[in-house]
Amino acid sequence: MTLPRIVRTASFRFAVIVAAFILVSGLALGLIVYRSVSAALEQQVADQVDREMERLLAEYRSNGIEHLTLQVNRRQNARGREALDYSLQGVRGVVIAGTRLPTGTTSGRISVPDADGMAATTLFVRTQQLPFGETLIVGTDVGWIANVQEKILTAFASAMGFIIAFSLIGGLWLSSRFLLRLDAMTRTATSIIGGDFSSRIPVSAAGDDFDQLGGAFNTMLDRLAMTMESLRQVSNDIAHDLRTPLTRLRQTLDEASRTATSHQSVQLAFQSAGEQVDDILATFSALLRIAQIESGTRRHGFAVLDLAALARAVSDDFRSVAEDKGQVLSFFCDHPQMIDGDRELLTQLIVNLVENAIRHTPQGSQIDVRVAGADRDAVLTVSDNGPGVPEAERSRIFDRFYRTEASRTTSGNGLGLCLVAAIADLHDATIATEDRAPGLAISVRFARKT
Amino acid sequence: MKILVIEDDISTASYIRNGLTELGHVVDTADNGRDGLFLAAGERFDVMIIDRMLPGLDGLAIVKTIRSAAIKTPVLFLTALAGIDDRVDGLEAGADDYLVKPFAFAELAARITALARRPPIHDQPTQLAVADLEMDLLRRKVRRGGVDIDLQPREFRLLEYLMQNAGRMVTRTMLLEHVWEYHFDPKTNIVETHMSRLRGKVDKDFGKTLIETIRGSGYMIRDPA
Repeated sequence: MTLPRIVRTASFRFAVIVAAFILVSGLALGLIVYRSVSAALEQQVADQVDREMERLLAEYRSNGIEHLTLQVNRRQNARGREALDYSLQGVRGVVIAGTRLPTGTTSGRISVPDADGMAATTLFVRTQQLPFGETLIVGTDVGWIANVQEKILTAFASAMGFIIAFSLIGGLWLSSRFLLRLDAMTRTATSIIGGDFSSRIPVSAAGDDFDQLGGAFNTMLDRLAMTMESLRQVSNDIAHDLRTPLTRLRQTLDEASRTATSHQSVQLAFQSAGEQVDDILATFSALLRIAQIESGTRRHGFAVLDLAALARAVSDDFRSVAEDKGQVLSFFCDHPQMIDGDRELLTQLIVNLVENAIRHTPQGSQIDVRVAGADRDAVLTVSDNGPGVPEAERSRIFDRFYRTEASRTTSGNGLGLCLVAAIADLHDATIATEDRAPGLAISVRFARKT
Repeated sequence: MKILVIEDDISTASYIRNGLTELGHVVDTADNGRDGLFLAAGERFDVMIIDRMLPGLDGLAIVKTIRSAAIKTPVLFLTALAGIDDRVDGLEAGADDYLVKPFAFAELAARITALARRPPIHDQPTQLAVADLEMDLLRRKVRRGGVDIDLQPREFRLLEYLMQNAGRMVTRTMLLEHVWEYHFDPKTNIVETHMSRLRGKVDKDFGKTLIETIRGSGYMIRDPA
């Protein structure tokens, strides 16, 4: 992970922007503090000087110039560090008392060169002309204010320095953490592109945004893997299960070309081949239909309908088919059961279940179609008292092309119950099988619409 | 009949044309959507057979265009798609019937005949009769030779469809679609079972047999006299 890459990350840019905001507000704060502290200090100095001036002028007015001279000298001599400077000067600038201070400024800052003439001392002075030409000056060294100001500036500058440094370091740290997690995702994607479909994004226990994103991606990958697996399964099934009838067709044609001599036997071979092709095409369209149902696009055509009425209609239609086979088909239902669904597909679901029962049970069997409410569900059950399906095979009867050992001899493509499962799945219905000892019961449970 | 066939697959087109010509129809063909629409809009046909997928302009668009131009010629849609939604799309566009490829020629012929003679909705009769068999559609009553015949609702629908197409063959698929509204192929002989019960009630005790089986293709009701 190189530095420029970190610098390019969104998180680093974010850290820089935040640092810039902190910097600007820090500068504003510094400026305000600097100016208000400076103003307060200047005011304090001015007040002090003004008070002293008032006191000396009062002295002068009540006790005269001699007393003032005395006072100025006493104060000047008694002054400690950072105290005031006093100067009483005569008409021509002769210092009568106190120290020498420059005249010419009535009030404000002045610069006084030091003895060596190099560095300058900054003074704040008040100058007062006395009635007989003398000048009284009170001043004070304000160099310390500049020191305070400088300290404030230094403190702010170093604080700003720290803030900027911390923001950048924090930004780099956050970015590198983000990058590490993103890199893990990129590595996963790369290895999937490379062909390893089992690769998944590592997810920590923290459950943060990255973990949620990673989890969602992993779920999506699982789902895709499942779809791919089922696609692979379907192509295998199709390849395998169409091979058999195609081989048989090939044999039929082969045999006819070798042995058929009369017009009639050629006709028979043609007819047989035609029927076999029809069977293969029927298998194809059943597969397409299952694929289309599984894609879920039919769901937008759902409407509320009565499952009991559909089942009754199918039962009425197939009762005579069962009777012709010497079976008894009965329909039981107490109330209408409204569900949300596709009429055509649900009809096919019921027809397939009923036909399955009719075709795989012997003469004399009893077939029951039942629609009943159970809690919040509507349950359709088609049961028979035929030979049933062994426990081990029962979960597989809904698989594509699956045919039980017992049913291999009857016609059919092994897709009828698979279609039932696909239609049930489209309706979010669950399928259950049960051993009726003897016989098989298949029930489909739909969410009832109230 | 004069029939327009719009089909881009040459072998399917000639299969249809040869078969229909053999039956005595006059057939015009187009192998793309544009030419097809030009013919459909410019000439009078009794029936049009239009493939769903065509180069240039697809079948759905052709049917929509001619219907919006108030051309009411019956249209039979052909498609290689066995999808459930495709049938609905075709019928919604204005096609009258729908046939999935591959099909037996007898199936196509029966459907064209049924389409060409389909009366407009508003003047469909309320009484149907074949020889001495009479059906009252309003009172839901069937009589033969003055004797009332009691039919189950599905048997009634079956007989009604046969009588609407009296003298013309109807196929097993046509019966499944129109009588049962099943757009899939049941694995049991539901059509044969109901047909045999219907015959038991309508034909058995009346001498003349009205319902014929056309072997391998379908059924037809007609007065044999």
